[in-house]
Amino acid sequence: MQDLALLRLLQLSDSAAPIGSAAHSFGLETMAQEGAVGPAELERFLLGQLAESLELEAVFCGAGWGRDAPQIDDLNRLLSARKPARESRQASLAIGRRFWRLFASIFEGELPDVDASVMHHAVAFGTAARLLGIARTTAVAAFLQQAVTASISAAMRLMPLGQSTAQALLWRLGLEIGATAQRACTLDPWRAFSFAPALEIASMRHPGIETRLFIS
Amino acid sequence: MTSCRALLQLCFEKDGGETRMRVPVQQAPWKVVRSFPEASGACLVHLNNVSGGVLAGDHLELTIEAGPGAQALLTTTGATRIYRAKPEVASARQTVAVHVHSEALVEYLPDALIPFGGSRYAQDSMFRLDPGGGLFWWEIVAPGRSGERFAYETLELTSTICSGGAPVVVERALLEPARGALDNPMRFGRFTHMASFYICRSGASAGCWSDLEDRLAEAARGIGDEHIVWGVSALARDGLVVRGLAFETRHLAQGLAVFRRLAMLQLYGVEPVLPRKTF
Repeated sequence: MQDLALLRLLQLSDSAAPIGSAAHSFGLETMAQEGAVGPAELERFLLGQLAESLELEAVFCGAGWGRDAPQIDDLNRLLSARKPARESRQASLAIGRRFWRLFASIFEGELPDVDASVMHHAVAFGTAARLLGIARTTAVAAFLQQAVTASISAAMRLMPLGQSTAQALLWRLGLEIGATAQRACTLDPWRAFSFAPALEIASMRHPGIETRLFIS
Repeated sequence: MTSCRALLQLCFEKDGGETRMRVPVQQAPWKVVRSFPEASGACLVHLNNVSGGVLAGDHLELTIEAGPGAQALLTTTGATRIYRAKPEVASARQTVAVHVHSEALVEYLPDALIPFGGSRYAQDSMFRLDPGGGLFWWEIVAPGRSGERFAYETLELTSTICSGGAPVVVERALLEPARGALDNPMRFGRFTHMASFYICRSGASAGCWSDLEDRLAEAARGIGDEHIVWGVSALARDGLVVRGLAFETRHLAQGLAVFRRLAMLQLYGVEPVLPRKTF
Protein backbone atom coordinates (compact mmCIF):
# COMPACT_ATOMS: atom_id res chain seq x y z
CA MET A 1 0.00 0.00 0.00
CA GLN A 2 1.78 3.09 -1.26
CA ASP A 3 -0.23 5.43 0.99
CA LEU A 4 1.12 3.61 4.04
CA ALA A 5 4.71 4.08 2.85
CA LEU A 6 3.99 7.80 2.42
CA LEU A 7 2.52 7.98 5.92
CA ARG A 8 5.65 6.29 7.33
CA LEU A 9 7.84 8.78 5.47
CA LEU A 10 5.85 11.71 6.84
CA GLN A 11 6.18 10.28 10.36
CA LEU A 12 9.96 9.90 10.08
CA SER A 13 10.28 13.41 8.62
CA ASP A 14 8.17 15.05 11.28
CA SER A 15 9.82 17.30 13.83
CA ALA A 16 7.89 15.37 16.49
CA ALA A 17 10.09 12.30 15.86
CA PRO A 18 12.18 11.99 19.06
CA ILE A 19 15.61 12.12 17.41
CA GLY A 20 16.85 15.44 18.80
CA SER A 21 16.99 17.44 15.59
CA ALA A 22 15.34 20.46 17.22
CA ALA A 23 18.32 20.80 19.58
CA HIS A 24 20.78 21.74 16.81
CA SER A 25 21.22 24.84 14.68
CA PHE A 26 24.36 23.66 12.80
CA GLY A 27 26.08 27.04 13.16
CA LEU A 28 23.05 29.27 12.58
CA GLU A 29 22.97 30.28 16.26
CA THR A 30 26.50 31.74 16.02
CA MET A 31 25.66 33.56 12.80
CA ALA A 32 22.46 34.99 14.27
CA GLN A 33 24.23 36.13 17.45
CA GLU A 34 27.01 37.79 15.48
CA GLY A 35 24.54 39.53 13.18
CA ALA A 36 25.58 37.69 10.01
CA VAL A 37 22.08 36.27 9.47
CA GLY A 38 18.83 37.97 10.45
CA PRO A 39 15.29 37.76 9.07
CA ALA A 40 16.29 39.80 6.01
CA GLU A 41 19.13 37.44 5.05
CA LEU A 42 17.51 34.15 6.04
CA GLU A 43 16.08 33.20 2.64
CA ARG A 44 19.38 33.89 0.90
CA PHE A 45 21.20 31.94 3.58
CA LEU A 46 18.89 28.94 3.14
CA LEU A 47 19.23 29.04 -0.65
CA GLY A 48 23.00 29.02 -0.14
CA GLN A 49 22.69 26.03 2.19
CA LEU A 50 20.57 24.20 -0.37
CA ALA A 51 23.21 24.81 -3.02
CA GLU A 52 26.12 23.68 -0.82
CA SER A 53 25.98 21.88 2.54
CA LEU A 54 22.42 20.58 2.24
CA GLU A 55 23.02 19.41 -1.33
CA LEU A 56 25.99 17.43 -0.02
CA GLU A 57 23.76 15.88 2.68
CA ALA A 58 21.19 15.12 0.00
CA VAL A 59 23.82 13.32 -2.09
CA PHE A 60 24.58 11.07 0.89
CA CYS A 61 20.88 10.53 1.55
CA GLY A 62 20.45 9.37 -2.05
CA ALA A 63 23.57 7.23 -1.83
CA GLY A 64 22.31 5.66 1.43
CA TRP A 65 19.11 4.77 -0.42
CA GLY A 66 21.14 2.91 -3.03
CA ARG A 67 23.70 1.08 -0.88
CA ASP A 68 23.79 -2.16 1.05
CA ALA A 69 25.78 -2.91 4.20
CA PRO A 70 28.80 -2.71 4.56
CA GLN A 71 28.89 0.02 1.87
CA ILE A 72 26.65 2.03 4.19
CA ASP A 73 29.38 2.04 6.86
CA ASP A 74 31.91 3.31 4.29
CA LEU A 75 29.45 5.98 3.22
CA ASN A 76 29.07 7.18 6.80
CA ARG A 77 32.84 7.35 7.31
CA LEU A 78 33.16 9.32 4.09
CA LEU A 79 30.50 11.77 5.25
CA SER A 80 32.44 12.26 8.51
CA ALA A 81 35.50 13.15 6.40
CA ARG A 82 33.39 15.65 4.46
CA LYS A 83 32.30 17.47 7.61
CA PRO A 84 35.23 19.47 8.99
CA ALA A 85 33.31 21.17 11.82
CA ARG A 86 33.25 18.84 14.83
CA GLU A 87 30.02 20.09 16.38
CA SER A 88 28.01 19.75 13.18
CA ARG A 89 29.57 16.36 12.46
CA GLN A 90 28.75 15.09 15.93
CA ALA A 91 25.22 16.52 15.70
CA SER A 92 24.65 14.69 12.41
CA LEU A 93 25.90 11.47 14.03
CA ALA A 94 23.82 11.91 17.19
CA ILE A 95 20.63 12.52 15.20
CA GLY A 96 21.50 9.66 12.84
CA ARG A 97 22.02 7.19 15.68
CA ARG A 98 18.71 8.15 17.30
CA PHE A 99 16.89 8.03 13.97
CA TRP A 100 18.23 4.56 13.24
CA ARG A 101 17.45 3.30 16.74
CA LEU A 102 13.91 4.61 16.45
CA PHE A 103 13.45 3.14 12.98
CA ALA A 104 14.87 -0.24 14.05
CA SER A 105 12.45 -0.35 16.98
CA ILE A 106 9.30 0.21 14.86
CA PHE A 107 10.10 -1.20 11.39
CA GLU A 108 8.63 -4.67 10.80
CA GLY A 109 11.03 -5.82 8.08
CA GLU A 110 14.63 -6.99 7.98
CA LEU A 111 17.33 -4.38 8.63
CA PRO A 112 20.79 -4.25 7.02
CA ASP A 113 23.68 -5.10 9.33
CA VAL A 114 25.17 -1.63 9.76
CA ASP A 115 27.36 0.03 12.38
CA ALA A 116 24.78 2.30 14.02
CA SER A 117 27.48 4.17 15.96
CA VAL A 118 28.76 5.84 12.78
CA MET A 119 25.34 6.41 11.18
CA HIS A 120 24.72 9.95 9.93
CA HIS A 121 21.17 11.25 9.70
CA ALA A 122 21.23 11.70 5.92
CA VAL A 123 22.45 8.16 5.26
CA ALA A 124 20.08 6.63 7.82
CA PHE A 125 17.13 8.49 6.30
CA GLY A 126 17.93 7.29 2.78
CA THR A 127 18.46 3.71 3.94
CA ALA A 128 15.17 3.69 5.86
CA ALA A 129 13.24 5.24 2.96
CA ARG A 130 14.36 2.51 0.59
CA LEU A 131 13.27 -0.17 3.06
CA LEU A 132 9.86 1.52 3.11
CA GLY A 133 9.62 1.37 -0.69
CA ILE A 134 9.86 5.13 -1.16
CA ALA A 135 11.30 6.35 -4.48
CA ARG A 136 14.81 7.73 -4.23
CA THR A 137 14.11 11.32 -5.31
CA THR A 138 11.05 11.48 -3.07
CA ALA A 139 13.13 10.30 -0.12
CA VAL A 140 15.83 12.88 -0.75
CA ALA A 141 13.25 15.65 -1.18
CA ALA A 142 11.64 14.66 2.12
CA PHE A 143 15.03 14.70 3.84
CA LEU A 144 15.74 18.19 2.51
CA GLN A 145 12.26 19.40 3.45
CA GLN A 146 12.73 18.33 7.09
CA ALA A 147 16.25 19.83 7.16
CA VAL A 148 15.07 23.22 5.86
CA THR A 149 12.08 23.09 8.20
CA ALA A 150 14.46 22.47 11.12
CA SER A 151 16.63 25.43 10.08
CA ILE A 152 13.60 27.72 9.85
CA SER A 153 12.35 26.45 13.20
CA ALA A 154 15.77 27.25 14.72
CA ALA A 155 15.65 30.69 13.10
CA MET A 156 12.26 31.38 14.69
CA ARG A 157 13.84 30.85 18.10
CA LEU A 158 16.91 32.95 17.26
CA MET A 159 15.44 36.00 15.54
CA PRO A 160 12.17 37.89 15.14
CA LEU A 161 10.49 35.66 12.56
CA GLY A 162 6.74 35.11 12.69
CA GLN A 163 5.00 31.79 12.04
CA SER A 164 3.21 32.95 8.89
CA THR A 165 6.41 34.45 7.49
CA ALA A 166 8.24 31.22 8.24
CA GLN A 167 5.59 29.13 6.49
CA ALA A 168 5.64 31.40 3.44
CA LEU A 169 9.42 31.11 3.31
CA LEU A 170 9.29 27.31 3.46
CA TRP A 171 6.64 27.33 0.75
CA ARG A 172 8.80 29.47 -1.57
CA LEU A 173 11.78 27.17 -1.06
CA GLY A 174 9.80 24.12 -2.18
CA LEU A 175 10.80 24.42 -5.83
CA GLU A 176 14.47 24.67 -4.94
CA ILE A 177 14.19 21.73 -2.55
CA GLY A 178 12.75 19.60 -5.36
CA ALA A 179 15.42 20.71 -7.83
CA THR A 180 18.20 20.04 -5.31
CA ALA A 181 16.83 16.54 -4.67
CA GLN A 182 16.78 15.77 -8.39
CA ARG A 183 20.34 17.02 -8.83
CA ALA A 184 21.66 15.27 -5.72
CA CYS A 185 20.49 11.88 -6.98
CA THR A 186 22.84 12.20 -9.96
CA LEU A 187 25.97 13.07 -7.95
CA ASP A 188 28.73 10.91 -6.50
CA PRO A 189 29.48 11.30 -2.75
CA TRP A 190 33.23 11.50 -3.44
CA ARG A 191 32.86 14.08 -6.20
CA ALA A 192 30.01 16.33 -4.98
CA PHE A 193 30.95 19.92 -4.20
CA SER A 194 30.25 21.92 -1.06
CA PHE A 195 31.62 25.33 -0.14
CA ALA A 196 30.38 26.85 3.12
CA PRO A 197 33.40 28.22 5.02
CA ALA A 198 31.53 30.92 6.96
CA LEU A 199 28.94 28.41 8.14
CA GLU A 200 31.66 25.92 9.08
CA ILE A 201 33.54 28.58 11.04
CA ALA A 202 30.30 29.56 12.77
CA SER A 203 29.82 25.93 13.78
CA MET A 204 33.44 25.71 14.99
CA ARG A 205 32.95 28.88 17.07
CA HIS A 206 29.64 27.76 18.56
CA PRO A 207 31.13 26.04 21.65
CA GLY A 208 32.71 29.36 22.61
CA ILE A 209 29.67 31.64 22.51
CA GLU A 210 28.44 32.73 25.92
CA THR A 211 24.72 31.95 25.87
CA ARG A 212 23.38 29.10 23.78
CA LEU A 213 19.93 27.74 23.02
CA PHE A 214 21.24 24.89 20.87
CA ILE A 215 23.70 22.03 21.35
CA SER A 216 25.30 22.83 17.98
CA MET B 1 50.49 29.42 -27.25
CA THR B 2 51.04 25.77 -26.33
CA SER B 3 50.12 24.43 -22.93
CA CYS B 4 52.52 22.36 -20.90
CA ARG B 5 52.50 19.47 -18.50
CA ALA B 6 55.31 19.60 -15.96
CA LEU B 7 56.28 17.35 -13.07
CA LEU B 8 58.37 18.09 -10.01
CA GLN B 9 59.22 15.04 -7.96
CA LEU B 10 60.85 15.45 -4.57
CA CYS B 11 62.04 12.70 -2.27
CA PHE B 12 63.17 13.21 1.32
CA GLU B 13 65.16 10.63 3.22
CA LYS B 14 66.41 10.57 6.76
CA ASP B 15 70.20 10.36 6.97
CA GLY B 16 71.42 10.27 10.55
CA GLY B 17 70.12 13.40 12.27
CA GLU B 18 69.37 15.18 9.01
CA THR B 19 66.97 14.89 6.11
CA ARG B 20 68.32 14.91 2.57
CA MET B 21 66.44 15.79 -0.60
CA ARG B 22 66.58 14.12 -3.98
CA VAL B 23 64.96 15.55 -7.10
CA PRO B 24 64.38 12.64 -9.52
CA VAL B 25 62.29 14.76 -11.91
CA GLN B 26 62.25 18.52 -12.41
CA GLN B 27 60.50 19.92 -15.47
CA ALA B 28 60.13 23.63 -16.25
CA PRO B 29 58.49 25.82 -15.08
CA TRP B 30 59.09 24.02 -11.78
CA LYS B 31 62.43 24.91 -10.22
CA VAL B 32 64.07 23.88 -6.97
CA VAL B 33 67.54 25.30 -6.49
CA ARG B 34 68.66 23.57 -3.32
CA SER B 35 67.57 22.58 0.15
CA PHE B 36 68.64 24.06 3.47
CA PRO B 37 69.17 22.15 6.70
CA GLU B 38 67.14 23.44 9.64
CA ALA B 39 68.30 23.26 13.25
CA SER B 40 65.42 20.84 13.92
CA GLY B 41 66.89 18.38 11.40
CA ALA B 42 64.25 19.25 8.83
CA CYS B 43 65.04 20.05 5.22
CA LEU B 44 63.76 23.44 4.01
CA VAL B 45 62.91 23.77 0.32
CA HIS B 46 61.63 26.72 -1.70
CA LEU B 47 59.43 25.79 -4.65
CA ASN B 48 59.76 28.16 -7.57
CA ASN B 49 57.61 28.51 -10.66
CA VAL B 50 59.79 30.40 -13.14
CA SER B 51 56.82 31.34 -15.33
CA GLY B 52 55.45 33.33 -12.39
CA GLY B 53 52.15 31.50 -12.28
CA VAL B 54 49.97 28.86 -13.82
CA LEU B 55 48.92 29.51 -17.41
CA ALA B 56 45.61 28.39 -18.87
CA GLY B 57 45.92 24.88 -20.24
CA ASP B 58 48.96 24.06 -18.13
CA HIS B 59 48.98 21.08 -15.81
CA LEU B 60 51.59 21.27 -13.08
CA GLU B 61 52.23 18.21 -10.96
CA LEU B 62 54.09 18.04 -7.67
CA THR B 63 54.82 14.77 -5.93
CA ILE B 64 56.48 14.56 -2.55
CA GLU B 65 57.68 11.39 -0.87
CA ALA B 66 58.92 11.69 2.71
CA GLY B 67 60.60 8.46 3.79
CA PRO B 68 60.42 7.01 7.30
CA GLY B 69 61.45 9.61 9.88
CA ALA B 70 62.23 12.33 7.31
CA GLN B 71 61.23 15.94 7.97
CA ALA B 72 60.57 18.36 5.13
CA LEU B 73 59.43 21.96 5.17
CA LEU B 74 58.27 23.24 1.78
CA THR B 75 57.24 26.74 0.90
CA THR B 76 57.05 28.83 -2.27
CA THR B 77 59.04 31.83 -3.41
CA GLY B 78 55.86 33.80 -4.06
CA ALA B 79 52.13 33.61 -4.59
CA THR B 80 50.65 31.12 -7.05
CA ARG B 81 49.12 33.35 -9.72
CA ILE B 82 46.48 31.90 -12.01
CA TYR B 83 46.36 33.77 -15.30
CA ARG B 84 43.32 34.72 -17.37
CA ALA B 85 42.08 31.94 -19.67
CA LYS B 86 40.88 32.32 -23.24
CA PRO B 87 37.53 30.61 -23.82
CA GLU B 88 39.01 27.94 -26.10
CA VAL B 89 41.81 26.99 -23.70
CA ALA B 90 41.40 24.38 -20.96
CA SER B 91 41.51 25.31 -17.28
CA ALA B 92 44.86 25.56 -15.56
CA ARG B 93 45.48 22.58 -13.30
CA GLN B 94 47.78 21.73 -10.45
CA THR B 95 47.94 18.39 -8.71
CA VAL B 96 49.83 17.75 -5.51
CA ALA B 97 50.39 14.22 -4.22
CA VAL B 98 52.20 13.74 -0.92
CA HIS B 99 53.08 10.47 0.77
CA VAL B 100 54.26 10.77 4.37
CA HIS B 101 55.82 7.55 5.59
CA SER B 102 55.89 6.40 9.20
CA GLU B 103 57.13 8.97 11.74
CA ALA B 104 57.93 11.45 8.95
CA LEU B 105 56.68 15.03 8.92
CA VAL B 106 55.83 17.18 5.91
CA GLU B 107 55.07 20.86 6.28
CA TYR B 108 53.69 22.30 3.03
CA LEU B 109 53.19 26.02 3.58
CA PRO B 110 52.78 27.78 0.23
CA ASP B 111 52.09 31.47 -0.30
CA ALA B 112 48.62 32.56 -1.31
CA LEU B 113 46.73 31.37 -4.35
CA ILE B 114 45.66 34.36 -6.49
CA PRO B 115 43.15 33.60 -9.26
CA PHE B 116 43.25 36.52 -11.70
CA GLY B 117 40.11 37.90 -13.32
CA GLY B 118 38.91 35.60 -16.10
CA SER B 119 40.95 32.62 -14.88
CA ARG B 120 39.83 29.02 -14.56
CA TYR B 121 41.73 26.73 -12.23
CA ALA B 122 41.41 23.24 -10.78
CA GLN B 123 43.63 22.07 -7.95
CA ASP B 124 43.72 18.55 -6.55
CA SER B 125 45.77 17.98 -3.38
CA MET B 126 46.11 14.46 -2.01
CA PHE B 127 48.00 13.57 1.18
CA ARG B 128 48.60 10.03 2.36
CA LEU B 129 49.81 9.46 5.92
CA ASP B 130 51.32 6.21 7.19
CA PRO B 131 51.18 5.44 10.94
CA GLY B 132 52.91 8.24 12.87
CA GLY B 133 53.17 10.38 9.74
CA GLY B 134 52.56 14.10 10.27
CA LEU B 135 51.26 16.88 8.05
CA PHE B 136 51.07 20.65 8.45
CA TRP B 137 49.44 22.10 5.33
CA TRP B 138 47.94 25.50 4.88
CA GLU B 139 46.37 27.26 1.98
CA ILE B 140 45.36 30.90 1.54
CA VAL B 141 42.98 31.86 -1.26
CA ALA B 142 42.77 35.52 -2.33
CA PRO B 143 39.81 36.93 -4.28
CA GLY B 144 42.05 38.11 -7.14
CA ARG B 145 44.72 40.67 -7.92
CA SER B 146 44.82 43.97 -6.10
CA GLY B 147 41.52 45.69 -6.88
CA GLU B 148 39.85 42.51 -8.14
CA ARG B 149 37.13 40.82 -6.14
CA PHE B 150 35.96 37.41 -7.34
CA ALA B 151 36.47 38.23 -11.03
CA TYR B 152 37.70 34.73 -11.88
CA GLU B 153 35.49 32.27 -13.77
CA THR B 154 35.96 29.05 -11.83
CA LEU B 155 38.07 27.87 -8.94
CA GLU B 156 37.86 24.18 -8.14
CA LEU B 157 39.67 22.98 -5.03
CA THR B 158 39.85 19.33 -4.04
CA SER B 159 41.62 18.32 -0.84
CA THR B 160 41.96 14.77 0.41
CA ILE B 161 43.85 13.53 3.45
CA CYS B 162 43.98 9.80 4.12
CA SER B 163 45.39 8.38 7.29
CA GLY B 164 46.01 4.69 7.72
CA GLY B 165 44.35 4.04 4.37
CA ALA B 166 41.03 5.75 5.14
CA PRO B 167 39.89 9.31 4.41
CA VAL B 168 39.87 11.84 7.25
CA VAL B 169 39.41 14.94 5.08
CA VAL B 170 37.58 15.06 1.75
CA GLU B 171 36.74 18.56 0.64
CA ARG B 172 35.62 19.64 -2.81
CA ALA B 173 34.76 23.26 -3.44
CA LEU B 174 33.59 24.82 -6.68
CA LEU B 175 33.61 28.61 -6.66
CA GLU B 176 31.82 30.17 -9.61
CA PRO B 177 31.25 33.85 -8.81
CA ALA B 178 28.91 34.33 -11.76
CA ARG B 179 26.62 31.48 -10.67
CA GLY B 180 26.64 31.41 -6.87
CA ALA B 181 27.04 34.67 -4.98
CA LEU B 182 30.20 34.26 -2.92
CA ASP B 183 29.06 36.95 -0.48
CA ASN B 184 26.26 34.67 0.72
CA PRO B 185 26.45 34.61 4.57
CA MET B 186 27.33 30.91 4.56
CA ARG B 187 30.13 31.26 1.97
CA PHE B 188 32.45 34.29 2.44
CA GLY B 189 29.83 36.61 3.94
CA ARG B 190 31.44 40.05 4.23
CA PHE B 191 34.98 38.65 3.90
CA THR B 192 37.10 38.15 0.78
CA HIS B 193 40.08 35.94 1.73
CA MET B 194 40.09 32.40 3.11
CA ALA B 195 42.64 30.18 4.78
CA SER B 196 42.59 26.52 5.74
CA PHE B 197 45.25 24.86 7.87
CA TYR B 198 45.28 21.09 8.33
CA ILE B 199 47.34 19.70 11.18
CA CYS B 200 47.50 15.91 11.25
CA ARG B 201 49.46 13.13 12.88
CA SER B 202 48.34 9.64 12.08
CA GLY B 203 47.49 7.63 15.19
CA ALA B 204 47.55 10.49 17.73
CA SER B 205 44.82 10.08 20.35
CA ALA B 206 41.42 11.77 20.33
CA GLY B 207 42.42 13.45 23.62
CA CYS B 208 45.45 14.99 21.95
CA TRP B 209 43.24 16.64 19.30
CA SER B 210 40.68 17.74 21.85
CA ASP B 211 43.43 19.44 23.90
CA LEU B 212 44.91 21.06 20.81
CA GLU B 213 41.48 22.23 19.64
CA ASP B 214 40.95 23.94 23.02
CA ARG B 215 44.37 25.57 22.89
CA LEU B 216 44.06 26.81 19.32
CA ALA B 217 40.46 27.96 19.84
CA GLU B 218 41.66 30.08 22.75
CA ALA B 219 44.39 31.55 20.53
CA ALA B 220 41.79 32.14 17.80
CA ARG B 221 39.68 34.19 20.19
CA GLY B 222 42.76 36.22 21.09
CA ILE B 223 43.71 37.12 17.53
CA GLY B 224 40.24 37.46 16.01
CA ASP B 225 38.65 40.87 15.56
CA GLU B 226 36.35 42.65 13.11
CA HIS B 227 38.91 42.10 10.33
CA ILE B 228 39.33 38.36 10.74
CA VAL B 229 37.41 35.37 12.04
CA TRP B 230 38.84 31.94 12.91
CA GLY B 231 37.35 28.54 13.58
CA VAL B 232 39.16 25.49 14.98
CA SER B 233 37.88 21.95 14.94
CA ALA B 234 39.15 18.45 15.55
CA LEU B 235 38.61 16.14 12.58
CA ALA B 236 36.87 12.80 12.93
CA ARG B 237 40.30 11.38 13.80
CA ASP B 238 44.02 12.00 13.44
CA GLY B 239 43.89 15.74 12.93
CA LEU B 240 42.51 19.19 13.24
CA VAL B 241 41.53 21.99 10.89
CA VAL B 242 41.80 25.74 11.36
CA ARG B 243 39.76 27.88 9.01
CA GLY B 244 39.85 31.65 8.68
CA LEU B 245 38.14 34.43 6.75
CA ALA B 246 39.58 37.91 6.43
CA PHE B 247 40.11 40.92 4.16
CA GLU B 248 43.86 40.57 3.67
CA THR B 249 46.33 37.79 3.03
CA ARG B 250 48.84 39.08 5.55
CA HIS B 251 46.34 38.92 8.43
CA LEU B 252 45.65 35.28 7.64
CA ALA B 253 49.37 34.49 7.28
CA GLN B 254 50.14 36.04 10.66
CA GLY B 255 47.40 34.01 12.33
CA LEU B 256 48.49 30.78 10.66
CA ALA B 257 52.00 31.29 12.04
CA VAL B 258 50.54 31.53 15.56
CA PHE B 259 48.58 28.28 15.14
CA ARG B 260 51.58 26.53 13.59
CA ARG B 261 53.79 27.44 16.53
CA LEU B 262 51.30 26.21 19.13
CA ALA B 263 50.60 22.98 17.27
CA MET B 264 54.28 22.25 16.63
CA LEU B 265 55.09 22.77 20.30
CA GLN B 266 52.29 20.47 21.45
CA LEU B 267 52.69 17.70 18.87
CA TYR B 268 56.46 17.68 18.38
CA GLY B 269 57.88 19.74 21.26
CA VAL B 270 59.73 21.93 18.77
CA GLU B 271 59.85 25.73 18.52
CA PRO B 272 59.34 26.21 14.77
CA VAL B 273 61.17 28.76 12.68
CA LEU B 274 59.19 30.58 10.02
CA PRO B 275 60.38 29.83 6.50
CA ARG B 276 61.29 32.88 4.47
CA LYS B 277 58.37 34.70 2.78
CA THR B 278 55.55 33.05 4.65
CA PHE B 279 55.28 35.84 7.20
